[in-house]
Order: sequence, then C-alpha cells, then structure tokens
Amino acid sequence: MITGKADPSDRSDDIAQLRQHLDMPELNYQDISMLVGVQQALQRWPLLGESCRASSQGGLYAAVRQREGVSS
Amino acid sequence: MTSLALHGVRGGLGRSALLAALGYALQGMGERVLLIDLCPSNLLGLHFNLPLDTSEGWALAEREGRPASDAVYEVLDGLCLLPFGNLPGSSRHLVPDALAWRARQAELAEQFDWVLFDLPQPLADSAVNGIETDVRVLVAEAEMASHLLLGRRPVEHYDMLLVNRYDPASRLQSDLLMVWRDLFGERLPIQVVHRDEAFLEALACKAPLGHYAPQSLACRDVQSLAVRCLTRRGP
Repeated sequence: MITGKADPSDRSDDIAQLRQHLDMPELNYQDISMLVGVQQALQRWPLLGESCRASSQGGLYAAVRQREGVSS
Repeated sequence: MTSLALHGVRGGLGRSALLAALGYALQGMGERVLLIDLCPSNLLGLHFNLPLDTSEGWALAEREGRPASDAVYEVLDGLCLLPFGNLPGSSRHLVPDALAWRARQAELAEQFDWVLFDLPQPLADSAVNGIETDVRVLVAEAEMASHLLLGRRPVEHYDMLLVNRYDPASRLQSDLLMVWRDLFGERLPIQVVHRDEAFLEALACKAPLGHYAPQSLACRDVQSLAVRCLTRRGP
C-alpha cells in the first residue's frame, strides 16, 4: 500500500542531494522529530531534564542544551 | 585473538549471563572462544553446566602453585571456560593481576579467536579493573541510575554501549534510549538486548541463553551483538 510517506531509508540520500544542490557540504541536518522527542522526554522526567542541565560545565550534554534553545 | 570485556556502569546488570550468551553465539559462528571468570563469586561456570560444588579455577590453581591452564574446561567443541574457582573464605578478595593476565592473553593468542573476560564490578572510588582488552563494551539499563552513572564515564573509552533488559513498552526506557541515541549515537554504537525471562530461566537450567532459548528475542539480540563483535575481530 502506498501511504505517501517517504521511505526513511531514502531520507539520507535526499539530504545528500540537497547538500549537493545547494553546494553547501557543511549543511548540518537535524532530525526535527527526534529533537522534539528528546525535548519532551527532558520535560516529562524531571531528573532527566535536571541531569542534562546540571552538566552545563561539561561537554556531554552540549547537544541537548543546544537543542533546548532551538525548540523553546 | 581478540579480547573483550563487558564493563557495567553499575553492578547487577546481568553481565555474566550476557557474556555466557555471547560466548555461545560466537562459538555457534565457528569461532574458538575462551571465557574467563575474574569474579570471586565464581558463577560463570554455572551457565555451562558445571557442578555447583566445583572448586577448580584459575585462582585456586594459582594459590596452589599450578598453572591456570590446569583449570580450563572444554564445555563444547571450540568453547572453553576458565572459572575463578572456589577459594577458602579468607582469600576471596583476590584482585586479578592485570600484568599476569596480559601475559596469559599473549599465550592464549594462538589457541583462541576470542577471549571473553567476566570482570568484577570495581568499587566506585577505585580505578577500573586494569584488565586491558581489545574490545570494551559498556553495559547499562535504560533507567535513571544508569543514565547518571553513564554521564560520569568517558564514553570514548568504549567501543559499544549495550542497553540490557530493554522493555520497549516502558515510556521511561524508550525516552532514555532516545536521549542516549541523541547524546552518544554518533560516538558510540548502541546495541539493545531486550528484557527476556529466557535469560533468567537459562541460568536456572544451567545453560547459556542460545542453548536454552534459541528462538527468544534476547537470543536474536545477542546474535546481533556477536555479528558486531566479528567486525572487530583481530587477526
């Protein structure tokens, strides 16, 4: 059955083609649904959110902190 | 010969059962495997039908001035086991000598494709075991204590993160796995092994998982783990 949804396995190729088309090889692709899911998880579980914020001195959670900024 | 050890972010993560299952899976793929129990609790042999009252093991042999190879059991074709052994109460706190094991690994190199170490969980404030292996797998469960302890580990020191006893129906566990994929996914491959009663039943029947429940979900996960290990196999 054709659902109209893109095959996830094609997605990386799409991004590669977009990078090529725009001539921007450094273009940083972020999966928005993953980003939102992570953000919701950090809000749902207070200790998880606190642990990610608490390590602001270290680099471990830098990606999450960066993404918190994106979605807020 | 390639050496491998499972390191727990905490104790009680089922590493011995995982190691037994991995050894069995690698043997099933035609690899020659030696499993070495470095835990004084001396439980690894029970996964391979050794009698409960077996005292023989490398630590006992060492104490009696015999070579550790005296205590090797061939439990299947191409699958050997070196138990810790049962020492008298006063000497149970024997710490494996990292240098001696390095020398033994060199001796074993020609006889085995894989040497798998079952390491004791180090005390929180002590250095890591000191046993150096080619492949280092960090084991955690998708729960908060593991998450917090994982944040204190230098994840770049490991080759893989193994999430054991994973239950996809749990919201917390699926959330944690998603966060871990986001945090570590690019630096550390993540292997999931699903929670499966068959793991517990296998030990109760004194067999490794793959022998007891070859069709179980966890067994398929362990086979995936074994295939991943093969990609890191040395000469």
